[in-house]
Amino acid sequence: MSLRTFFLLLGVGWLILVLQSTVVSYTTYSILQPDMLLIILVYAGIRRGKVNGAGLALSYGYLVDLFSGRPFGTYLFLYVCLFFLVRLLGMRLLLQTRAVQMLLVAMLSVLIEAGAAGLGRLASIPSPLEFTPASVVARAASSAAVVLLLFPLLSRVESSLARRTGTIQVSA
Amino acid sequence: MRLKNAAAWYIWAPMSILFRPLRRRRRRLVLALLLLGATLLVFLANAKGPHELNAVDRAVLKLSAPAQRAVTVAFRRAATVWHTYVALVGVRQENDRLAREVAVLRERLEELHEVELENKRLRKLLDFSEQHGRPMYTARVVGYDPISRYRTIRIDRGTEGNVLRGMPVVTSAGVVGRVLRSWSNYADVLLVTDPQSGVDALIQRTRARGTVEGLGAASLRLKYLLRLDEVRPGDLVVTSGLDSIFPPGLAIGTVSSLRRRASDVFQEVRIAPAVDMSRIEEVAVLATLPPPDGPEDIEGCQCGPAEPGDGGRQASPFFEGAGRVIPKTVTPISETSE
Repeated sequence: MSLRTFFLLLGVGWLILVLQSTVVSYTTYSILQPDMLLIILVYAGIRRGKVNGAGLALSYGYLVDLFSGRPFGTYLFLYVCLFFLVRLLGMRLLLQTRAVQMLLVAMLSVLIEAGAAGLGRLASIPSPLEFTPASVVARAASSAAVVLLLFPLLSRVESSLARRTGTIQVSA
Repeated sequence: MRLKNAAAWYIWAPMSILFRPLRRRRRRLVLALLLLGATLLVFLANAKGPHELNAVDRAVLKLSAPAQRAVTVAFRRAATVWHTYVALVGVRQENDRLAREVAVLRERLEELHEVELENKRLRKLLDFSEQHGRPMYTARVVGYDPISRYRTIRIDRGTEGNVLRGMPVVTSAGVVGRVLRSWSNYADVLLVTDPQSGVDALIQRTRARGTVEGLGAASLRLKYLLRLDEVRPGDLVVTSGLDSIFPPGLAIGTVSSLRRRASDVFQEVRIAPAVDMSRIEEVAVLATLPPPDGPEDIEGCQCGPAEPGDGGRQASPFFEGAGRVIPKTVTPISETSE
């Protein structure tokens, strides 16, 4: 991942958070919102360039922590964990088919909810009632569905950026 | 000597080729573990209390909050246009001139209606402030928590508007929450529906006392209410004032259900909040003594007059001297609202 892509994804993440905290909150049920940052992070995790990906995970975690009411550091830790988990899985498994990527995003979406609840318990904060097993599954499914749209889009954006700068890129 | 060097080369060269990937992998592993450890430490350091905003946090929030405000305002305007104009396209086709006139008039009417409703809400807030005898600052909601609507909201008044961490936030309907963090022109409010929130409360009818806790959804829980305390669905739950944050007598909600078990010391009481957290547009922040561990807010606070002409958002003159944090100069509402 080039530095330009990194900053682009960082900006996109920030914009997504601004929209999620304003327009999307008015129009849809929050439990059905796909976890867009998670999807971008999985994309970054599957790609080459660990340092930028880890930086993106740190930046996203920091932004979500600043935007949400959870104890600071919750998503900072979870997103970095998640990124390294994707890297680890990427080393052992072939994550190139869309179906596998969707499955991975759905699984990680469930994991991140469980992780947030677990960290909340560690900080003596009860898990919100809004997050039921059904809502977690619904969110995971919507996140997985968005992979179909977002991954090719990100790949296209990245390849057009690479073409401009003249660097070689490997498709996700 | 030459022989010794050659031997060293023959031994170390293959070794270094063999172990280079391992060393690199180990270095990566150590770096990853260090990063994970550092982030976990950040979480553990902030798990028990609110995060103190540093310069970077302030810069990011200064960039984000106005963007949130702009998006919210644009979205509300677009929604108004949609409801008052675009939806009338079918009617306008029948009689273009008349329909356009109707649309314009309706838009104006909607605007006036909105202004009237806002006026009513602000009037209620003003009455509320008079009842409780504290300076009050009104603010608009510019954003919600992106993760859950029942945790925090962002309002467009911060330390420059005398809003400090820990101040209670209310509407005319009842308790909303309290200020979690505040900076320049914005503040985040921890809602009573958030599981981290706790308010000392009373059942208004029987004066039985307990603690109201959020459940992270559109309902609350009243804890530590003894099994023998009399309570029934529909009872109003109000603040006791004993937590030194909220003034006494503010509506928190009504009892929606309760469960008593012979084996338990306490009964389980669920409360429907008095304020619909998903539809708040304006709130009032009541002035109070900031918590002792909040130096950043006090430093950032400018206790001067509120900006004139901001739609009745000045501190009320009726309560000068009543609260613990008082602006140096107070502009009467009547002077600016006319």
